[in-house]
Amino acid sequence: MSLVTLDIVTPERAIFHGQVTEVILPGELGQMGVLAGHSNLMTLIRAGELIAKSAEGERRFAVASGFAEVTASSVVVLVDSGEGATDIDVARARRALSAAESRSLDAAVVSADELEAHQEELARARNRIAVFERSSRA
Amino acid sequence: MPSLKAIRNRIKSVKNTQKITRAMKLVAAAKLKRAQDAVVASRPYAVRLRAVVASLAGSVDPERYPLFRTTPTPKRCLLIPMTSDRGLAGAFNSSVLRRTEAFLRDSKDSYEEIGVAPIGRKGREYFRRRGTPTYTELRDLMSGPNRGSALAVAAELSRLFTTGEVDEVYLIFNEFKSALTQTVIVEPLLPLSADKLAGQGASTTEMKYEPNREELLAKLLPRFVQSNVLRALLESQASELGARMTAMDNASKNAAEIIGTMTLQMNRARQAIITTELMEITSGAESLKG
Repeated sequence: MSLVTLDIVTPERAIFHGQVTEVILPGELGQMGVLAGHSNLMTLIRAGELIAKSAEGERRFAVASGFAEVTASSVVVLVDSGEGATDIDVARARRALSAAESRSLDAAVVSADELEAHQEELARARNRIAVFERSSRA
Repeated sequence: MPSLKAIRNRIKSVKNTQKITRAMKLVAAAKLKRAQDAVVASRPYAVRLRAVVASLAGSVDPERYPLFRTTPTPKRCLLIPMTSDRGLAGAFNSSVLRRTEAFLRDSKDSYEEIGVAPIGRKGREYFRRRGTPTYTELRDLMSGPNRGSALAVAAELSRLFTTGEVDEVYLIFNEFKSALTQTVIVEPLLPLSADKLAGQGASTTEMKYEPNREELLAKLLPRFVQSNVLRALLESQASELGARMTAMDNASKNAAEIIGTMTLQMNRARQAIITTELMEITSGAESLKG
């Protein structure tokens, strides 16, 4: 089976580099699986779960929004933040979630940017928790 | 000739100073390693993002993106000198501040107004003393050279830029070459130059874009600004530690030298006293014989 080189990179560091058989990306237009030989594609990524499948098994990552560049033999994922499912600090994510939830936003006053930032924050925290729970069950 | 006691005290005090400078050097060296690693670790993202933005910038209409907006006659310009919170880092802060002063002097006539928004306590204090009006809001946005700070600072600068409060933004910071050398550079942050970027993007392959080029670029541009700010913050941090390490190494060496010369002086003084005493004893004995 032919392989794809997967790189997951955040502004602060690279979190994964390796050969995988399939990548499942949380694309802006829905989840999508990428195998070797995929046509060239640049897509936005939303906060979600990224799964890297290889001969050794599956690795799950919680990623924030960003984008991915797909070519026939490589997938480069650039996201604002991300970590492997086993590295998630779930207590911290829960704190972040409750902090974000308790901050009530009046839609009439906040700007569109603030609203978007707040939603992004919520999505990130929820996603971390979801990925953590799914992987600890598996 | 200072007294023996005075020399001993001096030596003791220099030794204490040397202990401090040596400790600071070790701390800076340990932190420098981490800071350097952070610079290296941030590179793949920055390089990749630049390449992608470059390949997109050439194929869209830059007029539609506020961050590309250029003004034919820029009126207001904002400088961001990056300094440290603490001193004893050699020429680290003074070279950034000197460069900022030079900019203020040389470009006085090109703009109606040049604002300064220093990062770091040293810069803020310097401009406060000089009476230069500064924009201090960035202070509360900084929590260290990390992505959070870069995000907040980039967002604030982009806001000032897109609302038209400033027409150009420059970062002035130390670029890390090695622990011995740091060079101050002045980097235009905003507006982003679509032409310059497009020149670098040699995209030859066919690409499909999801959702489409315009929306992708709109999402990537703010991140690009962030990534540039983050790079400057990390470079500056590594430079600070490098400069401090070198400065403290020199200080420790100087202290060792001073201790050496003073120990020699002390021994001479002691020898002089012994000689005088001996002479007094022998002359006393001589006079008794007589």
